[in-house]
Amino acid sequence: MKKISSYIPALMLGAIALTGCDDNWVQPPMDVPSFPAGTKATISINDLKTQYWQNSDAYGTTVGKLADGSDAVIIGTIVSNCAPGNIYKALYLQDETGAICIGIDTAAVSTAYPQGLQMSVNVTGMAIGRYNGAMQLGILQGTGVNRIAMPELRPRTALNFLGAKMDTTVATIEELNEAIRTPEGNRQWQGRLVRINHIRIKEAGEPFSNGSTTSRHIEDDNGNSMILYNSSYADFAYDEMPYGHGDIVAVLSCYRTSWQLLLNDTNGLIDFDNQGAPDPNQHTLFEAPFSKGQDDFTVDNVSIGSLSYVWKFDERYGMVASAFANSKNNASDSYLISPEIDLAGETGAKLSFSHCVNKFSADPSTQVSVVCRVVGSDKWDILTIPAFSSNQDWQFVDSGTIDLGAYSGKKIQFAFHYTSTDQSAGSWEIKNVKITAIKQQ
Amino acid sequence: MRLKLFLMALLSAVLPVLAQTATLTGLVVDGNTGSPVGGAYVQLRTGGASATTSFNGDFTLEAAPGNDYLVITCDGYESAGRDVQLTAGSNTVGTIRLTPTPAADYYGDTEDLIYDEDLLESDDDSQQSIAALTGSNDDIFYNTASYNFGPMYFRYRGYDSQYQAVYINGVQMNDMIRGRFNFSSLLGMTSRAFRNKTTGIGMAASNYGFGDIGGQVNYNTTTDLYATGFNGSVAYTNANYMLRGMATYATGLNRHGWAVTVSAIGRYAKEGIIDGTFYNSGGLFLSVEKLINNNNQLVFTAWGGPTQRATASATYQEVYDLMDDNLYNPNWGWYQGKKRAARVTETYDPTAMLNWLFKKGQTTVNTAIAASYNYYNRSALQYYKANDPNPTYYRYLPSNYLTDSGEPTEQSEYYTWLWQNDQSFSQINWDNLYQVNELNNITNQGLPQDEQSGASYILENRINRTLNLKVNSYINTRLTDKISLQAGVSGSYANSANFKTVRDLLGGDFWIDIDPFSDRDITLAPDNLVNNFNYPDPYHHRVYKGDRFGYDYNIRAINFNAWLQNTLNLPRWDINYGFKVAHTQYQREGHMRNGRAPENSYGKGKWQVFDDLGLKLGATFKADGHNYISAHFEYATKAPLAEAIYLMPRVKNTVVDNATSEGIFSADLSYTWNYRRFRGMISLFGTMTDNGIERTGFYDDRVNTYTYFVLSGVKKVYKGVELGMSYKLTPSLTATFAGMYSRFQYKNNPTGTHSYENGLHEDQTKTVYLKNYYVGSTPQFASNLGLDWAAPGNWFFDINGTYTGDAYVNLSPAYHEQMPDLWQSYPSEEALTAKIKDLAFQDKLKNAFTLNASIGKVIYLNKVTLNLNLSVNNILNNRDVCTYAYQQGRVDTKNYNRSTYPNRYTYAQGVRVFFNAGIRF
Repeated sequence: MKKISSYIPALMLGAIALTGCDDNWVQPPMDVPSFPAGTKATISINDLKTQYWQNSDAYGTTVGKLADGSDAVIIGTIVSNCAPGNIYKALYLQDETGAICIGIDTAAVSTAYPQGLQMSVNVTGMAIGRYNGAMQLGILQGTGVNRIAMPELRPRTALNFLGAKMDTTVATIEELNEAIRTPEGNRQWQGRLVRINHIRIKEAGEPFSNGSTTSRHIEDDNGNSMILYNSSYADFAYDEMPYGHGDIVAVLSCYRTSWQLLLNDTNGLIDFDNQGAPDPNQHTLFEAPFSKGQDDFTVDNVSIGSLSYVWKFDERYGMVASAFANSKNNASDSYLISPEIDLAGETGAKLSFSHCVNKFSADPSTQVSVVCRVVGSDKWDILTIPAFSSNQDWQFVDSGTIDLGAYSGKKIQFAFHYTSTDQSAGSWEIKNVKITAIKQQ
Repeated sequence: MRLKLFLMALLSAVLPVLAQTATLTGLVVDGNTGSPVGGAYVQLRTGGASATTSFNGDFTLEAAPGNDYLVITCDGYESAGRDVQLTAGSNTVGTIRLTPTPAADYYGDTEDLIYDEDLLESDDDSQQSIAALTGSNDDIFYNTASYNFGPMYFRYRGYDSQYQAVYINGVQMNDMIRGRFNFSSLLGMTSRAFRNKTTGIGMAASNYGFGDIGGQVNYNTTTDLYATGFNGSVAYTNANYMLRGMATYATGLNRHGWAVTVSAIGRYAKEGIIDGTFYNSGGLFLSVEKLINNNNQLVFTAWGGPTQRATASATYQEVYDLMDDNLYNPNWGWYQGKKRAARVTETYDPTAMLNWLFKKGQTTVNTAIAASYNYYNRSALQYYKANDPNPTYYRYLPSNYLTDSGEPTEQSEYYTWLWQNDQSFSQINWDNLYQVNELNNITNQGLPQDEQSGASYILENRINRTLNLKVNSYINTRLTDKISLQAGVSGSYANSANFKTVRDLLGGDFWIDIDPFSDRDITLAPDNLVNNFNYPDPYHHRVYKGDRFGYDYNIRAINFNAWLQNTLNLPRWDINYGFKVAHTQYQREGHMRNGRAPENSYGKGKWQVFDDLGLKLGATFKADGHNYISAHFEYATKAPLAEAIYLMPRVKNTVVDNATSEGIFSADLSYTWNYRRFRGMISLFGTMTDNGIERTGFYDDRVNTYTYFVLSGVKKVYKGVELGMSYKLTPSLTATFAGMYSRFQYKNNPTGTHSYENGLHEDQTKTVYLKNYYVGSTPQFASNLGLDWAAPGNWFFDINGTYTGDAYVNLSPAYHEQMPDLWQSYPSEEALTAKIKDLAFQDKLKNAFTLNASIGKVIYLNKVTLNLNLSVNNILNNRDVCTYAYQQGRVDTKNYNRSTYPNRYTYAQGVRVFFNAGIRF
């Protein structure tokens, strides 16, 4: 029996030795493209651009050989991605000195030349030119630079997976707007992937595109702004742009004398803080477009003298109040009263509408108003309309929002209150009445 | 100090024996079967010298001359004793027959109650557990592994079943094409007709053959070894079959030297535990013996019988979850108010064997001729230009309709509803298949002959029919009282026919025999459609019920081998060494001129020849009668399996480039202790196989065709530690523990060859990065704790718990190759590296715990013995025990999403009950 105690530990030790060590799963190595031996840049992108730079728009020029007789070869990292569709038939290649756009005649540029890879291009024999301020490589067609076809481009290029560097240069709107004014600055920045920190999108909440190619704007806290140029073909074209402050990473393209930022995809909008975004529980509680009638509103003519009406529906102008009749101003007092609106469980209710005032002799704000009461009460509270039209023409303006927060939880009615005198009986036209509110959780 | 003692012991073992000493030799055998009993403890009561018997049942003792009393004890047998008179020099006690204890007898009867082969055979052709190597009396770990780990698809030392040699009467019966022994050919008669056997574990020596690294077993059907009289039993179980009846009658040897043993078995289930399966099996066994004289004995053995059973197949976890049933079976559907199975397996393996046993003195020669015929057919649905009839086709699964982020959609919810509420959807819709075929018939009316379309759906038979002829002779002789010699020669021939036939046209008029997979490429390579250019009209060849179609080829295999083994039994050492030479050759003969390989498919291919050798060495150092240390080494080469070397046997004669034999090196070291109350063994083992060949096949989406994937130059390492021990708490109450911790791994990056069945692409060879990945679907740790009580009054109780784990999904090599287009989807080094890692991940199966118990009673009434047994497996009804899993071969090269082609799983059933009542007189 004694022997057992000595044999077993020895065997156990042996077992550990047998079952230990070198046990990591071996993964297949990466199978990736790499440059053929000897591939190297013979000219920097900035030098190439400088050599063929024209201060105004220029026709295409064929890129020749270098002074030493060799071909001009540029090497850079592909910083654009056309797969999401915002950048179309173009590739932006960037090295340490600058970046340039290559126009390619295929919609699937990124399939052949994916973002993030290193790429070499033999540009001797290709055409270079500047059109509407933007420099581009392609082929010569007539006198202009046109997109190069894939079969022509492919033999000029090689890809390298490892060793690519996706440099994004951090800049401010101000310095970029300054740089575009000089040829040096323009050449240095045009086509680069840039990062601009702490900006907001002016049109936050709206879609990137309104249905066609759309210029939106970014701005910093100092009031500097830049165009954010969005294609309606981008797969994010109809997404809502984010609220608040954040950073943007985008390709800096140029149109005439101003920059246009091109997003590769929405990952280029980074860490937006969503400040000022509407509450996700906000909803439209009540709507009266006045496009087909007076909806559920009722008219209460307190006094309209000899007139048969003050409020009248018009297909073009919505609900129109006017006491100008028989070629004269008439005194009147009339309410256009909403149906009962229940604000139970709602907070932050806001009323807004479009309207137009015109032909008032006095200040229209003394004659028209929005009033509100709790159902059951006779007393109308007078509310302030933030914005009026000019009283000079028939242009509708947005009323601005009228806060109904004081009525949270109650059942209310509001009314458009029109008054006129013998001296002043203008027109008040109202459309698109809307109340939004935030549903309580 | 200890080392010194050890060295002295070593020296004493090899030094010549002093002349004044008496040497005692003897042979210990089983009183019922005559098989040698290894591991028995023999001791001289007065002199104190002791020894343990070798595999051959031999022992050698040295003692002072004089009178003494020899005591023989062995677990599972009643103790025995013998008076001996020792004189200086050699003495022998001859053969000592040990009587099995009632408990051993009882457990022998219940052997196949605990599980049987039907639970272990998967439909996918892929797996068979170690079932073939059941029952060895004295190895605790091995016994537990057979009975308790076996149902977990535990493979002994991680080996494939081709590494276990199975003999019947000394004739090796492993399938020559597929390597493994087809355990179901014994028809479930292991507790009776094939009860007498000798098992060698690991590389242990045996006296009937060279064996293999996974061990060997020899079933002995010599007629007079069966207990004389009648033995019958009926059993109920809730498994693949429900009822079993078995009867055996043995005459014993009459005075004219004749003995006859007959046995019959029947197994039946109208519906098995798995929905839509059934089971019908019957078998007969006959053994006739003529004892010609004291030296010569003839034994004729024949057995066989048909089995027909419906099977399930492994499927996706999504489907099991949808049906809330891990035993869901996609292979049946309602038809005319009955459950109809699409996958029906039919087997018939009659075997006949004639043995001539010659015994003279210390020499036995056993010479045999054997013939067997193996018929194996599996039916399956086939379709052409129609929707996949398999309900688990991925487009019928809700997951196909989830959003990209995995959210349910209206469609996915509808499919979920269908799965859960409509069996015409969740099972095979036979009516629909018939309807489609009948519509074809109607459309065909009035069309010119060659524009008519055949059936869209048929049931086909995939048939494998093999004729085996074997001759074998081995000798076991004792040269001196310390040296014995075993040797054998054998020759085998197998001719295996593989083809498909039409089983049922399902209402269609005919089937057009072209390759469904090549259809997509018809404009590129119209000839690829053709299965056989020798047809009069190969593009429109019609086949009808019973006709051969699809593929039709034979593989012939010839094997010769010879082995020689020498064993030395010294007082302190048992040493054996042996070697083997083998010659194997294969040839394929195609009976169709396939359009995908018209020059290389019809007729006979070249013989593929492999010459192999094996060397084996074993030594046991007997520190004393209670403690000994054994070591075994084996180096061998092994011819690859015929089924692995042909790149596409269904199509062409081409073989793997540089197909060579596999190199095997294996070693183990074990320590055994054997005391009256406490005995056990702990072993270390390490095996390396190199230059292996493995083949898999799958439908490859990338190229729209069935693809074969052959790995060659595969190197694997199997290593681990096994412990088995038992402690007698009281003479009748025994606690047993068995445990194993191991690693079975690929250890290199082999070469993979893709061959495309539609012939549109050249064969492609690439490196497959497998190093350190796990050999799949077998637990790499296992443990079992059990308690046995042989209670008074012949009651037997057993309870045990099994915990197994570290099993991995069988991997698909396609995930372990370089993928040339992957970087385009993951265009950064970081993302690419992460994706490669993700794709190459090998999933692990859940660990499993099961609790099992049995209760038995033996009643002796005059001359009648009644035997009752109830065993309940998986008492806790754990329905989450995954037995087998494999990764689908193909890779989603559109989105590189691993879950596009999910793993397939097979689960064990929950509670399994087996009740058996037997009678013997």
